[in-house]
Amino acid sequence: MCTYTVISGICRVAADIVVDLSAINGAGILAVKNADIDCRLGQKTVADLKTAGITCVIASKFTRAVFRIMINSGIAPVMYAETDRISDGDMIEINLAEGRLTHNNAIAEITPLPDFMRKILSAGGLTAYTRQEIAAR
Amino acid sequence: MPRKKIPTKAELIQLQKLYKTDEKIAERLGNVTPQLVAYWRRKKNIPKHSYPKFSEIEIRELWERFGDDYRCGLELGISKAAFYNWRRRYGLKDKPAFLKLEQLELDLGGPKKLIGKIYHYGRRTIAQKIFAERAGMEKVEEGEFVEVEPDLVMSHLNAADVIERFQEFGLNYVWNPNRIVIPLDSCPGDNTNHDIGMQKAIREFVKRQNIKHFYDFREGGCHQIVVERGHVLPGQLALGTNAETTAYGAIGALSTGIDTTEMASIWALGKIWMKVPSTVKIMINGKLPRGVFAMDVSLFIAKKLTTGGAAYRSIEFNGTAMTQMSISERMTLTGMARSMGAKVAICPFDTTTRRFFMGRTKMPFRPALADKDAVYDDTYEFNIDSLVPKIACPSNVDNVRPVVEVEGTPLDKIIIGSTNSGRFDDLRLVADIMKGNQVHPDVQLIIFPGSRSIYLEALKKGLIRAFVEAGAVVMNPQSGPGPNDQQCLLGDGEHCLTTFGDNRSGVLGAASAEIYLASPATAAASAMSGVITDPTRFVG
Repeated sequence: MCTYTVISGICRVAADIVVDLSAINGAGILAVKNADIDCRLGQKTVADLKTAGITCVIASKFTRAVFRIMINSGIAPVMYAETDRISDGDMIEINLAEGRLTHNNAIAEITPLPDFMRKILSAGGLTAYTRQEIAAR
Repeated sequence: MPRKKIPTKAELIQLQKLYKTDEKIAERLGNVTPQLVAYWRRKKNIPKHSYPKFSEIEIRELWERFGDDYRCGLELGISKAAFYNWRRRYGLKDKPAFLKLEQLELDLGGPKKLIGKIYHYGRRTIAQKIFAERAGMEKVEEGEFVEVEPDLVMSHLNAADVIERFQEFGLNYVWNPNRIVIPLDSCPGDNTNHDIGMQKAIREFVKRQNIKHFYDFREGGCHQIVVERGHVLPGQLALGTNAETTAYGAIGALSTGIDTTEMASIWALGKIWMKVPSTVKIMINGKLPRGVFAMDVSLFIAKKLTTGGAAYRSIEFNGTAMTQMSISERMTLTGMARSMGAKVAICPFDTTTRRFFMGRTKMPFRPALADKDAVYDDTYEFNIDSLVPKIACPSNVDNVRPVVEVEGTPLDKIIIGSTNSGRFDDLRLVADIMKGNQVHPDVQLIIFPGSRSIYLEALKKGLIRAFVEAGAVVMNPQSGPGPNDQQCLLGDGEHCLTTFGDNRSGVLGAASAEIYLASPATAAASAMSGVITDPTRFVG
């Protein structure tokens, strides 16, 4: 279970708006409000998010490519329909194992991630996870 | 010694039922050699005893489950009549009163709302069945994450990238060299960095790791090779480092594209995480009209579903028109499915698929079929009886219009090839339409045969000669132009018509170039006139 602080509830990562990633420090969460933006996130953007310390992205939907890239680089993609209610500085508690998202005392169901997926996330990406598995042999 | 009484035919059959082999019968009769029993058998025309291919339990279980000869036959890979004979042999005369499936799915009530969607045994789509099998689970649900071991992995030229990442793990050997296929080929739209050193690295790696299924440049397009050589079989899970990997769905396999980091992890660990997709069923009914081909059907569906219409979902094709299609046409359907965002696309296993695999592989395979009551996310039904040739205009696959609407647009280049077309039937179609006419002097017609065997067949049938005489350029067999193939690259503002699955700007050279997607027939008709032309009047 992890508790996150919403770093920027208003950051719309659409083509015209650039997130000031340098302002973000430590573990953070990025709530994405515009449903279309997920299509524009590429491998490079995800890498940028990671270096900025973002460990979780909340959006109403993810495309297949973005979802895979995020998991593989160790960022938890969380599908949550009501991203509009999230505002800057909110505390959000996410339990990936049980599939629970707590926000403003309201509990919402999210897709739970199985054990091996959480291992990939905690290892910090697929490459790191593969190294761990090889070392564990 | 008194002569042994020779048993009658009825007695011998009775004995065989009880004692099976000649040796046992001889032992029972006493004082007789097995050879003599065999001699009697031959004289009385009684075949040697053999254990049946399908056991009674197997036949009974299938019959109780489906209660339909055709459906049961499909499960076993035999015809409807053959299954009928088998069940009559075991005395299964009448239809079961209750199908086993229904018995298991009796609605027992209970707190449904709290649990949400309830899945029972049965009710599964092809994708769920194959993922469950590869994950070693009894059943999987839509949206569930599973860890699977793929049956086959394919990397084309970007294998060099995979090798680089694999070597970073410091392992000596790959997980399973027999399940890795590496054809040296480049697909249009791939951002692979082409470097001669990469090919050298791949060839050395393949030798060191003893990867048998390695195909050098001479062999052809990656997806064509994998299907043509029988590397991927019905009911299997295949992964490739190319987006068009969905094409293997044509033979009833589950296949999808992944990236090179993931492939390196598979080479090391032999497993990868996957999300079980929900399924969209697309029924294509009717009959292909004159001048309309699988590519037109694909574009028509792409327009209806739009580019993101099947995002992260699996597509199951079905319907009367689909069942009439050849494997080559089905590859066009499934290869184009990725343009709709689909994760996988499958044409279910049927007699066409079975015929395709006769003599192509010695490996046993078990096809997966969807249950009759499978749960689909959406079902679309299309009738193609009155379809007209379609064309995707720049620069989106779902920007589809009838060819007649854009007829007359001047073209600079026409490229036929890729996983969508470039097989022998496509090449023959192009030759049939051109009928010895010359390619328009202002247009370059470039043809990529799909593989070496297709190239040889086209040579034998005189197609290559016809193309070259008409003024076309026939390239070496491969999927399509790589980033360095100067003949195919487009300059600023050039217009190009291709049979590929991607027309985003910048895929083939300059970003300002306009790319149209159409069937090989439209491409051939347009090559003669130099402008986009409806092929209907050329098709006899």
